[in-house]
Amino acid sequence: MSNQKIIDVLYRYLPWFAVGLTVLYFGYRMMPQRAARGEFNFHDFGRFPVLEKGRYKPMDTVARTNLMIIAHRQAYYDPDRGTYHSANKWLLDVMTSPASQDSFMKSMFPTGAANHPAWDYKVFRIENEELVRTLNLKWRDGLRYSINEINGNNENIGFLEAESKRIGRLEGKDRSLVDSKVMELAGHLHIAMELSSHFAPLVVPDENGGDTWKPFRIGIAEHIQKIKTGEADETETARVYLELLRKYDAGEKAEFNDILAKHLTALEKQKPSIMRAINLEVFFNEFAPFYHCLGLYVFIAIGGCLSWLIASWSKPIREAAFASMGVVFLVHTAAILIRMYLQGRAPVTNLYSSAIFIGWGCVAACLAIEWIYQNGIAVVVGSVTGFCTLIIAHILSLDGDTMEMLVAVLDTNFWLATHVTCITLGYTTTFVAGFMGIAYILLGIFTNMLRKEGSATLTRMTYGVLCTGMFLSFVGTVLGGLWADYSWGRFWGWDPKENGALLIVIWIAMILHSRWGGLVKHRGIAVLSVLGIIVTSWSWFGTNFLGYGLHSYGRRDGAMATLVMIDLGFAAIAGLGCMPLKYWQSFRPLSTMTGPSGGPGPSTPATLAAATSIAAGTPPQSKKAKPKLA
Amino acid sequence: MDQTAISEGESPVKPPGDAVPVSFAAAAAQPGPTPQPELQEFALSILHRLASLRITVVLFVLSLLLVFWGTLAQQDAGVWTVVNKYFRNFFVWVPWRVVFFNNLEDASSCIPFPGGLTIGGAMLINLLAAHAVRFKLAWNRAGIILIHAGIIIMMFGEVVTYLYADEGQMMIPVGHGVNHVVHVRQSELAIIQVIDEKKDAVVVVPGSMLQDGAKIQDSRLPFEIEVIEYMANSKWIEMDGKLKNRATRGMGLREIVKAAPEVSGVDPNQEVDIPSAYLRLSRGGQQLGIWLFSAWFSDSYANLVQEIKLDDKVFRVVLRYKQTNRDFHIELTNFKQENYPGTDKPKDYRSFVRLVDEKAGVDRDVQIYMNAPMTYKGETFYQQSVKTDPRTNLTVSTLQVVRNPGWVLPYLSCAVVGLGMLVHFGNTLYKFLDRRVVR
Repeated sequence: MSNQKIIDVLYRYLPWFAVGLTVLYFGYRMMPQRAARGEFNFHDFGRFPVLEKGRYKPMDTVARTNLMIIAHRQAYYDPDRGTYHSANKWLLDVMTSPASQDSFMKSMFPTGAANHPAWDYKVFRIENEELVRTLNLKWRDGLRYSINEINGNNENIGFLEAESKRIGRLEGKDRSLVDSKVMELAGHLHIAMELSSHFAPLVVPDENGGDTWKPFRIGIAEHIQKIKTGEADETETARVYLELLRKYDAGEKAEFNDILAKHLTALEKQKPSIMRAINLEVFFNEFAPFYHCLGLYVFIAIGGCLSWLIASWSKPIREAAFASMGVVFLVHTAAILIRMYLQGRAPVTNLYSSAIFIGWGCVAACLAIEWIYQNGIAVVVGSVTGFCTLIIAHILSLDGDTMEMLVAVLDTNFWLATHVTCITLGYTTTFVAGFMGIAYILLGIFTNMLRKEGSATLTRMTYGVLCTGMFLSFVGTVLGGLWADYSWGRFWGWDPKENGALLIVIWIAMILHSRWGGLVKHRGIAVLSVLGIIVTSWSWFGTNFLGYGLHSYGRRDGAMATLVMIDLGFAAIAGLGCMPLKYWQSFRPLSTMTGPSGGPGPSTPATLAAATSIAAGTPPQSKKAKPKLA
Repeated sequence: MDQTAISEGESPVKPPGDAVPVSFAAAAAQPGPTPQPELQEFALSILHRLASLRITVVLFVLSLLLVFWGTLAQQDAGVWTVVNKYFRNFFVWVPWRVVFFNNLEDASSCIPFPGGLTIGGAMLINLLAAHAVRFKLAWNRAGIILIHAGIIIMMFGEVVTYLYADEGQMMIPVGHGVNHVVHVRQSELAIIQVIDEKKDAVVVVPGSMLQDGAKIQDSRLPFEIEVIEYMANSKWIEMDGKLKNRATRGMGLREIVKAAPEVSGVDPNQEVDIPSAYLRLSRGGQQLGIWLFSAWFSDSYANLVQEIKLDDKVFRVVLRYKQTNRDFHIELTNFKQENYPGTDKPKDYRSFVRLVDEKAGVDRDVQIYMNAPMTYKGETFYQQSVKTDPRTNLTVSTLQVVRNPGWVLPYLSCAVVGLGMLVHFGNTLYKFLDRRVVR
């Protein structure tokens, strides 16, 4: 009896449990990381304000983005001991490991100059097998090597220098794959050298409160001059920073923490507004909201699929997935808002932010669709698209700081907020429609779910999304034209990115007109929507890979090949959708129908129930049937 | 629009424009008055066929391919070459290389394809026919009618831009005033006879006439011209003993240029083409030698003067970008560039200019910067770029100068289509929700 009761409660409150669990998970991840007693306070060192690439940011961001570029990780993993260390520790070790010819810095950090702790850190990622062999390294899982390993017998650094000079003279298209990998590694070594010689970042503030900050190397040299003339002030940032690094170099933990705490307390009083943004950014970095959203979207997608498989629990599982998707969506939204606050910009400013915003839009659209249709399809489509776009964003974040400054012509919030947002939401709709098309094809071929009204329902959902997409893409494209007219004096310049946007508009117009003309029905719309993903991916990424146009704000080597591979995958799914209907589980005559187990005869109760669930899911019968949450 | 005639002065007369698809489209949409009922029926059946949604979809697919190939083609050619070849054309030969995503090396064989004017015209016929036979003027059709009307306005706007819009640049060094606009997409061979200090007599041969092998004779020209080679874009290279120099007179004896591929439409630096030409000049059978003329020598770049003496008359000959004069001048009083702190990335650059029009009594100071242009006498001046002249070390600000009588059409079209979509899709959504409530 009591067991039955527990099951009843679980059945009834499963969505609430899901919400509670999701909230708890985020709450746990949001908790600030404090340094262990008696250890260096790396967390607080991350709050040291610096000026880098045109904006004020915490040292934490400098450490993470540079390590991300070099190692594709935001933390340093020590493969010999199997331990993780914060990026701030890596940065501190780099900054106190001066190069052998850098006598100025060697005089300041004697311990680091003798031991070079950072030179043994295996962080430099070399993913090209040929380059690994050229440098006489051993191929290793994890692909990461230390400076000492790369330098080897003292010849490799010189070799890399000479090679990068030679390759630097070549034009992009004349470079081989190894060439570009050599350039990449040389660039990564350069970053480490710049940090170790203290030419970057800018840590010493402008004495007059302006924007001309100095790197530590220059700041401390000037401070030493002042000591000679007796004008030096011990609270100057350069001096404090020197003391801080020297304590780290000497391993004096308590003193290090002490100096840091005093300096940060003083800063909180002097520059409260900058420090507020800095603290928020450190919190944001440590929380890594997009990373956790990404993981949870996977669970939600699995939950959505389970709701189809477990017929008797279909409703609570679907509602649980829907409800936790709502919570994840709120965190996704908050994370975008924090980025907007930190940047003082509309949500989309570069490829990275377009990816997280497209993901956000997909989830938002799917929440709305699921609210109306309640059949679990939008939950799966929304969480899968959310997951995919956040993966793309993660890959794009390997390029470094994702909150980079904008070129002068983009420096306008009005057009960023209207044109760019509209276009990006237009991409969102084509992705959602495309994934619904994939759902149609896969569910139709492998399950019975599209029997009865299922097919019409799913098509109606796709059609609604396409109509919205038509509106957003068209308005977005035309707004872009108006911006171009306003900024450059021409409405339409046949620029690759403009043409890409036009292709999306024509593509959706073609699908809609095909439907109105009766040329395609349910399946045709699904197949064309899947192909629409290819058109959108061309507009989103492909046009950027053609070279730099007026619009290109991001480009990556070898990315075109990846794009083509992914698009071929979508084309294959669309091709699958063209398979004759007699092979489709959902459309073959009932007498020859087989269940998912492969056995002959009528389908299993589970699939039948699922089939009814999607068909009946069309309209909620009454207000009571609406989900209790969200 | 290319000029195709020799002219005097800086503003040559434009030839009449090409046929606009609007004219025959309108004819197709309105069948002439026919008394015989069979003929009327026949016309109606044709109209029905023209209005087919199948045709619409086929045209959409064709336009998709055209736009896609027209984008890929920009990797090998300049954007305006592509625009004129693919979009502002009735017919285009698309190279196989482009058809296969620029993966083929062979650039010689092509497939024929309808150009932008053909597809656009056909779309217009299809659309008007559809409205003639299918759509009744009814409230529930208002959205669709608005959308389609807006699209027609937009296509019309593009045609107006194609026929009448004019783009050029004003390059102004700090502290200097400029009264002419340079059109870098068109070149001209200017033959300038200095009459006195204030007056020059100028005869201009448009660059489009300088086709390889062409012979140009005209009573207004002091000599006959035979084109040995015209280069749409060229590199000024170092004199090298191995290279065969074709010039026999003038600066070409000392300087040499080499043909270069047109600046690609996807070029990161958005450079411009710099044309050059080797021309054989003669007068009544008397050979004057082969000369090298190049925009490199024009005042846009090196500012080197080549003179040809004929019967005590001195002619300055220069191949330059087409220039047109204005009756006002713009002086660059100051230029400021602001970078993001600690970087070389410009945050803002702006020209402080003084606009002087003596005739109209205008003399005012204006700031022109990104997203903040200046408008004067039907032309709009935009901040385009900035460079430092290596010869004078002066900062030179480039203003984009645009005249487009059709500029308002896209705005109008946007409003009409946007409204139409709101009405149409709003109506669809309302019906959908309504049906759900009824259930």
